[in-house]
Amino acid sequence: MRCRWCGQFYREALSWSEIFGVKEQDLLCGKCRQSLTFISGEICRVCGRMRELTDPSYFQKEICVDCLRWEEDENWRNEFFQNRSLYVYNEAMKQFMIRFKFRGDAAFADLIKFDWKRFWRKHDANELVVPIPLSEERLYERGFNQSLILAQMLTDDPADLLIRPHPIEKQSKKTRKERVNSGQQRFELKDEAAVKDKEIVLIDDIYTTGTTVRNAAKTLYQHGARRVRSLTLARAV
Amino acid sequence: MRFAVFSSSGRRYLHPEALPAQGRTFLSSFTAIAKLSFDEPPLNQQFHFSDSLQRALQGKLLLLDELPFSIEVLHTHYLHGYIGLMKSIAKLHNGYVCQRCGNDEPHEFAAFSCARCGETCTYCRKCIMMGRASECQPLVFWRGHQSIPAIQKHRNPLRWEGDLSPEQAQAAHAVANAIEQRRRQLVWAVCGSGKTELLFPGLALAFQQGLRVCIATPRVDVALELEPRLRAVFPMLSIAALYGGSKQKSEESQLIVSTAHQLLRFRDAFDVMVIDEVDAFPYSFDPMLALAVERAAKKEAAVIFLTATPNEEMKRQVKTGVLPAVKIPVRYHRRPLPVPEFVWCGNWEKRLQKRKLPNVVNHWCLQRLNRNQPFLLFVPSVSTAEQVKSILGVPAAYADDPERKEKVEKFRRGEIPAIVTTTILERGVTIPRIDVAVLGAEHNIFTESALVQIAGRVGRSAEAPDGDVAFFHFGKTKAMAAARRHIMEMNEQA
Ligand SMILES: [Zn+2]
Ligand SMILES: [Zn+2]
Ligand SMILES: [Zn+2]
Ligand SMILES: [Zn+2]
Repeated sequence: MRCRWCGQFYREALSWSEIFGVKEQDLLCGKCRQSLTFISGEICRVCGRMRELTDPSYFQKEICVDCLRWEEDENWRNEFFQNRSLYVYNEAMKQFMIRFKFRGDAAFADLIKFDWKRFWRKHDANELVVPIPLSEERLYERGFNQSLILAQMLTDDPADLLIRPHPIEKQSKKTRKERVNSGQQRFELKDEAAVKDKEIVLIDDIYTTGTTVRNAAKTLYQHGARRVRSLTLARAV
Repeated sequence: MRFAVFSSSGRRYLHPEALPAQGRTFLSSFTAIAKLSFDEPPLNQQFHFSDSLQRALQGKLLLLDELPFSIEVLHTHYLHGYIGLMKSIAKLHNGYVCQRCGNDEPHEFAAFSCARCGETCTYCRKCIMMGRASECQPLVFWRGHQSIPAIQKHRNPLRWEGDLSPEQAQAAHAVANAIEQRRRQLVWAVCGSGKTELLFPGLALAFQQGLRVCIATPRVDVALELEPRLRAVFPMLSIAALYGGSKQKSEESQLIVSTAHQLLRFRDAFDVMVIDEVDAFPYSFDPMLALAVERAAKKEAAVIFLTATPNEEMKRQVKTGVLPAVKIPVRYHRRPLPVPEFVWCGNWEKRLQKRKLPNVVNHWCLQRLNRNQPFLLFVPSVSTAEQVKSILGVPAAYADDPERKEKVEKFRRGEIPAIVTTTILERGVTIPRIDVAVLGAEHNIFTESALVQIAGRVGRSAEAPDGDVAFFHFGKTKAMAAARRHIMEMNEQA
C-alpha cells in the first residue's frame, strides 16, 4: 500500500477498522497516522482544550483562562456555547492543514473520515448542522470550503446558511476586544427564518481562540436559535 | 476561471467568463478548460507585448493563478498569440494525465466539488505542493520570443585553481564538447569521483557564450551544497537556487540550481541542462520528473546526465551509440570500490520482534563497537530503524529527521560509534575507515542503484579508502547481484 498522504509504501498491517460493519482500510501509513493526536483525558468544559497539554496556570477548576474571559465578558456571557475538537492542532496537523487548505488538497478529508465520523457519532445530538463559511474571495481562491466538506461527511444536507463578509483588515492589527466585537467578524444569514428555535451545531476545521465560531453563534442567537455549539477537527494547544 | 469557445476564421479560441462577450457567439457553455477543445491563435508580429509579462513568463510554465497579471492583459496576449493556454489536467479515454507533472496514476488524482467551475473538478495530488493543477486551472506559457536582459557573455567566468585527475579531465572535455555542440552526453561517474569539478570547464564555456544553464538534482541537500560552491567559482554570475521554500527569484538568473520538482514551473528555458543523479538515493529521478527536465530544456539544448547507475534505457542508448558516454570508474583517490559481501541472516523481522538482532548481524556490529570501528547500518524502514536502535543502543537518523545533521556531525567527530539509517546521509560525509552494512538487503527499496551508492559510502576519504561492506539478507535478490556485478565492473575498468 502507498500512503495517501506521504506517498511512502507501507505494509497493510493491522490497520483494518470497522465502519458500519464494512471493513475499510486505513489510507495513511503508520507514521502519518501516529502523527495525529486525539484530544483525550480531562478537557476544558467549554472549549474542549486538552488539559494535559496546557500549562496548569491556564486552568481554573475545569475551565481554561481563554474561556473564562469569554464568560466574564458582558457581551458574551449570557449565551451558551461549547466546543469539542477531535485532534490536537500539533505540528503534524499544521502540515496537514497547509496542504489541505492552502494548497487545496481536498482529498485530505478522506484520510480522517473514519475518526471524524466516529467523533460525530459520539457527539451527534440531532441538531441543524451549519458549516462555517468562507468569504467569497477566499472560496474562489481555494475552490472549496473545508468546513462544508467536513459537514458533508456528517450529514447529507448540511445547512450552508451563513455568509461571511469580506475581511477588511488584518486581524493582528487590532486588540483582542476590537477583534472579538468588531463588525468584520459578524456573519450574516441567507435565510433568517431557518434558525428560529433551532438547536445548531457549527462545523469548522480549527478552533484557535473561538472568535470565529462564537461570532457565528452570536448571529444565530440573534435570529432566535435556541442553542449553538461547535465541533471542530482540531483544537490549538 | 471558466472558459467558452468561440470561432474565428474557422478556428476555435478561448474566451474567459470574467470578460464581456463582445458580441461573440459561443460554441460551448462556460466550463472548465479541460472539457473544451481549442486552437492556438497565430502570433501577431505587430502586437506590442508587455515587457514585464514577457520577463515573468518566458521560459516558464505556470498555473494561471501564479501569474500576477489581470485577466484582460493575459487574454489580449493570448489572442495575439503571445501566451499559450493549455489544460493542466487532460482526460483520456482511460483516465487522467497531469500536463504539469506527467502523473497518470489513477490513485494520484482526486476530485472535489469546485466553487470555481461549479462542477466536479479533478486535480493532481502528485504535484499539489506546487499549487493545484485542476480541470478548471489552465497552464500558461510564453509563445513570443525570449530575451533575458541580465544574461551576458563573460570573457573569463571561472575562478578556480583546482586540478582534475586524468579521468576527470577526460570527462570534463566530453562535457565541454557536448555543450559546444548542444548534444546529449552521459557521464558515468562513480560516487566520490569529484563530478562537480569536471563540470567547471564546460560551464565556463557556456557562460562565455551567454547560455542559460540549469543543474537539476533530485535532492534538496545537494542543491544546497552546490549553490555556494558554484557562487565561489563563478563569482560574477547571477545564480539562483530553487527548492521547496526557497524565495530566490530565477527570472534573470543565468545559472539555476534546482530540485527536479521546481523545474515543473519551466518550459523551453535552458540551453544547457545538467541532470545530477549521482548520490540520489533515496530520491531517484522519478520518471515523471524526467518529463519536467526535458520540458525545461530548450529543444536544441545540451543535456548532460551525471549518474552512478544509468538505467536500462540509457545503457541501451550507449550500446547503440545514440548516447555518447564517458566513464569515470575510479574515485578521486584512485582506489577501487569495496565489493559487498552477501550474508544470509534468516528472518530478521521475526528476530527483531523478539527484540534481538540476527546473530551474524549482532556479531558484525558488536565486533566494530568493541574496536571503535565506526559504521553505518542501513535498514529498509523507519520502524526497523527504531527497533534496531533500541536493541543496539546507537542513534538512528532518517531522511526527514530534524536532528539528522547534528547526529551526522557527532558521528563524524567520533562521539557516536554508529548510526542506524534509512537514508544516505549528507554527501561530503567523509568519515575515515567507515564500514557499512545493510540489514534486509532483499527489500525492494534497495535497488541496484541504491546498493551501489550505499557501498560507495565506504572509504570515501583519501587517507583511509578501505572498508567493509556487508549486505545482510533473507534471500538474495537480482538487485543485490546486479549491484555487486556493477561494482566489480567499475573496478576492472579502473
Ligand atoms: Zn504516510
Ligand atoms: Zn476553554
Ligand atoms: Zn501533477
Ligand atoms: Zn474547478
